[in-house]
Amino acid sequence: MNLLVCGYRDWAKEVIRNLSSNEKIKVFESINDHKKLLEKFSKPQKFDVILFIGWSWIIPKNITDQYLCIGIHPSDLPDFRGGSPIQNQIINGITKSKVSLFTLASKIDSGEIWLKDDLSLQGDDMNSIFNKIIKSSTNLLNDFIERYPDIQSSTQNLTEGSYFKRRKPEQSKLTKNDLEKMSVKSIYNFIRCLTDPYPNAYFEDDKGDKVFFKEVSFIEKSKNNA
Amino acid sequence: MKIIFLGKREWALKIYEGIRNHSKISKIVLAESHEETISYNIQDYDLLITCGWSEEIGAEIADNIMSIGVHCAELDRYSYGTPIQLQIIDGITITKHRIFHFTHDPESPRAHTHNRLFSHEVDLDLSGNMTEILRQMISTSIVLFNQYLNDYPNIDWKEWPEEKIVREKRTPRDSKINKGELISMSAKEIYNLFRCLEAPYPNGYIEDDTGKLFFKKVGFEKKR
Repeated sequence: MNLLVCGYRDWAKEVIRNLSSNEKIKVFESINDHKKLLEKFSKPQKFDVILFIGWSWIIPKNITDQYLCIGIHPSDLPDFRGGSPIQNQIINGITKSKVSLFTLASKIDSGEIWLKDDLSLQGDDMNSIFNKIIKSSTNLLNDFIERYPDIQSSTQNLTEGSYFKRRKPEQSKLTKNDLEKMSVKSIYNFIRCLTDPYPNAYFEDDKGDKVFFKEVSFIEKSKNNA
Repeated sequence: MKIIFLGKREWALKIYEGIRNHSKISKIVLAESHEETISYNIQDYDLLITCGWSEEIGAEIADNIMSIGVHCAELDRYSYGTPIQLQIIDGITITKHRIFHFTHDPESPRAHTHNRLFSHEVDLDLSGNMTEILRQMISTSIVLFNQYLNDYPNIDWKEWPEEKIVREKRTPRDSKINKGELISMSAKEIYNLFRCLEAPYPNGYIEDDTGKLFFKKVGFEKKR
């Protein structure tokens, strides 16, 4: 397989490193910048698959039409399509999810599904969750490479599932009303999914001063102790 | 001069390393417990340096050897325990780090500082997180003890004024914050409360039927 991998985030680079030793890959190249991608595809290329890991830019139609472009999305597609999937799942109380390998299509996160692997969303911070995504993504991609081209994809049922917009930094704010109404577990989930490198959860007082919640831990009360 | 250094915490041992080679010291021994201290023939020593020692040293030591320690407050204020936490919660950002005369008085409610005498002091910045404050206190303790040794035996003891207010020592139970109380606090007050309870101290937490949420690290931004 001739593979081009596109990724610039730290966790994506880790997955790229893990894949580079796969012996089924004949040609292996990686790109970490959208401009370089556009330059490269200004002339024809001989890649069988282009893999996008945590890629934030829209991929031009001429690339998705001519090459098999696949992406990784940390949710059980078609659930939680769209932006900030980890945050939106954790805030909605989901702890058991999937990493989905899918074909990039014109509609966001709506292409054919190739494979899925389990993903636990538990952990006090985003780094621990990234480590789980790296592990699941590496498993998925090695499995895909091993089975390619004798692997079948399946169509997503887009009448099911859910779509969310990408979160904005101002959505990291916890108001007095939020703190009053939310359970302690919900506050924990809100804070932990917004640990670095994301805009940290914060409380802003009447003067406009902000306290940021950077690191937390949680002890769940068992039903017997409640 | 001959010295017994009483301390067992990791950071206290760093301070020991920072003073043990002072030119006036002919002998220095390390004691990690009260028992180990009295196992030495203390009359043969000139000075007991305590570091991070929160227990009483007892009359058998205090009455028989000159004993000193360091305290991170503008004494007589915050002399009853947990001085860093109480000062930060009170909004204090600059305080003093002082060498005090470590005494013993079973009748006194004070911790270790019954005759209100100090010899050397430096400024201490309480504006960072606990890791930064504790790292700074290692450096200031080394400076203070070396200053004391430089001046020894001509130590100029000063008496600090007595204050009647008793600021109770915090306990791990005080780390629990009521949610209503939290909501009524300003962002700065919340920041100060949680940052002074960062590790190695019992972290600040809120609790309900779902569980306990511990705040391990916080940051602050003043409105621009």
